Amino acid sequence: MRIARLSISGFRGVLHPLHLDFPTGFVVLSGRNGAGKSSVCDAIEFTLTGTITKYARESEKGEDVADYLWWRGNSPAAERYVTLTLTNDAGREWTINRRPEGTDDTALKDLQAHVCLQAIDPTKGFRDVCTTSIIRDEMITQLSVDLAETDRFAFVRAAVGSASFSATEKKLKDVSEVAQKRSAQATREYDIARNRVRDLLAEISRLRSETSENKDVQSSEVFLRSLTERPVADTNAVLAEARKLATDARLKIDAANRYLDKLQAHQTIMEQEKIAELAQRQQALTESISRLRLTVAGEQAQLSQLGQTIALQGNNRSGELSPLAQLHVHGSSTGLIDGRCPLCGSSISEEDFRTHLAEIDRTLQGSAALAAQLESQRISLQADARRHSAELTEALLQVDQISATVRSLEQQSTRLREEAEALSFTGSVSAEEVRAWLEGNRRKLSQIDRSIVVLESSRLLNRVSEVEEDLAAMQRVAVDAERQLESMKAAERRVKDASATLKRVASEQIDERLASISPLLSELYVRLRPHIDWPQINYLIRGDVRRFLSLRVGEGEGHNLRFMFSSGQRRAVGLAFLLSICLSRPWCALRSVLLDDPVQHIDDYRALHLVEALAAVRQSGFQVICSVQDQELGALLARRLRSTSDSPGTLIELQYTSGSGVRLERTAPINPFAFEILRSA
Amino acid sequence: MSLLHDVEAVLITAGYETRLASEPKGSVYFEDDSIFGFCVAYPSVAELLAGWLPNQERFLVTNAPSLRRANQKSWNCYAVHLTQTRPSDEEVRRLFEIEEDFRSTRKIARAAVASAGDLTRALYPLLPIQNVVRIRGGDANKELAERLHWPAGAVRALLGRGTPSDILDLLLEEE
Repeated sequence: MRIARLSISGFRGVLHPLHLDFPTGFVVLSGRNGAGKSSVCDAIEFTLTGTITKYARESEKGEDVADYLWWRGNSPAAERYVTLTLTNDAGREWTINRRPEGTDDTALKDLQAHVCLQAIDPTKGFRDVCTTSIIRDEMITQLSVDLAETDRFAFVRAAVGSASFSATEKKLKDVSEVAQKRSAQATREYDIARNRVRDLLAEISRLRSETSENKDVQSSEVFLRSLTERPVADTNAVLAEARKLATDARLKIDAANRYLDKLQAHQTIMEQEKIAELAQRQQALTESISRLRLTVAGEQAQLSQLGQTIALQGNNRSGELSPLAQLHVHGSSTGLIDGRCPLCGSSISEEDFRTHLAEIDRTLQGSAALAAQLESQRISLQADARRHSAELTEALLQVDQISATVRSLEQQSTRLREEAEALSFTGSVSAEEVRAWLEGNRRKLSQIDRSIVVLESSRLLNRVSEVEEDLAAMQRVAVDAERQLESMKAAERRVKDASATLKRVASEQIDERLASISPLLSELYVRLRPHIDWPQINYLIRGDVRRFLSLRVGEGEGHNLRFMFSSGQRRAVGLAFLLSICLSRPWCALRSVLLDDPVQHIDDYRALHLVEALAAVRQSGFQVICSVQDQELGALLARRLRSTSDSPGTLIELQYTSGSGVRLERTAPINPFAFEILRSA
Repeated sequence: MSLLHDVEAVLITAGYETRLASEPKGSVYFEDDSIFGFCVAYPSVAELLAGWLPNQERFLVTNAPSLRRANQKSWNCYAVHLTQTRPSDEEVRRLFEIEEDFRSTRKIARAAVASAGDLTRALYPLLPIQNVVRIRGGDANKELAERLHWPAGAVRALLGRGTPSDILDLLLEEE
């Protein structure tokens, strides 16, 4: 596919419609600065991408290239459009028209599908086409020599395209996720099966341990059946009945044990208390109480009588003896007054007087002694009465206590009798009898327990068989689960390996593509001959994670030509690099290379080499569209780019007129040359 | 002279017509629909440096009528001067000066043309692109399929419309 026609109106420097026909061989555009040569490349890129990349990053005062795409001269443009027509080898044409309001996206997509070969690299679009097809003067070194090595690698890699396995990669990722999910499920199932196997093994071990002793199953069942009050159908019912009997027996034995304890305690108390002695003591105390009651009553009566006597005697002393005592005191203190009794005035001798006073004194003392004796009797009697009362109280208390003890013991005996009856003992039962009963029932319970164990053991043996069957089944399940898991893991590994293979294939293809450019770059470098002392260029790709593409000259490690070559020499290298990229795009069906003034800063010698290199490119089937400022160089290109009858070339001269913009000055088809030298000779 | 034979072979392969010529002596003429010229092989660099200009004159004089008829094509005249011997640094400089002389003809003056590669590189200005890049495209899936070592059905499902579950099942079938 090549560029066939371009029509421009009101775009960039073109005011009036400009129609350019592009023959399939080559087009040389010549014109001075501002003549509109670059507008041709701009129009082609703009038609395809809607922008102009060389200005993409530039803006100033809020304006950018979008504000200057269309004609901005004083005279308004009658029409504003760019129309590009491409044609393929079969003659089919695709025309894209872009105006300020946009373009027909359907037509653009259709063209893109034919230009960018999706089967080779579905990621490519017109931006990639333009970046690698249009070599602009100002971008020659920027996109080649002056690029950082990693950026250069990325640029070349993007240009050659990468074998895209994105859909396959995504699908592999999805397969991996499904495999992981299924693998996790298989792991869970395997774990469950293995855990169940472990549990069953443990259960079997436990069951076997429980059934390790050899038991007489039949006699045990007969024994247990003999204990049941009602006929039972099967061993399970026998066991149920036996367990019930055992439980009842255990409860009864416990109750009997408690009864025995109580009985023994009661008997101990009875022995300690000596109940007969208690009765004797109670009798003695009762008699003593009777006696004491009589004594106390007598003493109360005596005290009452004595009280009356003392009161009487007291009255007597206060009535009769008191004046006598006063007289005695007066007589004793006064004595005889003139031989006369001071009390009665009678003449009395001193002796008689003293005798009389002594008699009075005796009388008074006798009365006092009697009173003291009576009081002493009363005190003594009162003490006796209190002591006897206390003894009576104590005796009564003791009698009450003994009565309480006796009652308590009688009640305890009654309760024990009731408990004995509840335990099915008849009448009064001795501790010995209870112990004998307990011994017999313990033996019986033990026999029941043993018989139950024997019967249960026989049932456990059956259970062991069942569990062993379960175990075998579960082991098979576990083996199946393990096999399933292994298959899933193997599938997972294969998917993982496939992902790695896919990455490897993609990487290898990119490396192969990158490596395959090297000879072409070397050839173009030799053809353009940038530096007389460095006839070869080394194209090296290195790095695993970050990839580098270095361009070096010289042996071994070589030298970085970026810092060795002049700007003209670097441009020559850049041209070789960019041309090699353009010629190495398997995904791009556009066989056109556009060069916008590529010879600036390049001397005549290297310009000639560029012309010859472009002629070689042209010979390789590419349409070459090259703009130059110099008319002589334009003429050289027109002569040298090899116009043939089936793939002709043309020379177009553009000119800029003030106010009218770019106009077509001249179109000169280049006719094929004749064989003149050899044949005429 | 084998170098001239080699030159002829290379040029014929590139689409030129060639013939041996006597002016200059022992030269090869070549021409296609765009360019023409002659080639002389010299025994030494010194003889090349001494002989290139006289030989060029002889060619131009001999073919003057044809050159005049050729009009525009006559500008595309190449004078190729080759030698197998190695040049000194000074000789390299002088050979370079010959090539930078644009008068009358475009000159190719190269020494140390000792191999087929050297010859091809010397004749690059006359030849189409020699190292055309042949990048494989479109067979990436085929190569991937071969290198996956998967069952054919699983590969078809992976590269076709198989769902992830389908692909996994097909892988497990083989397992």
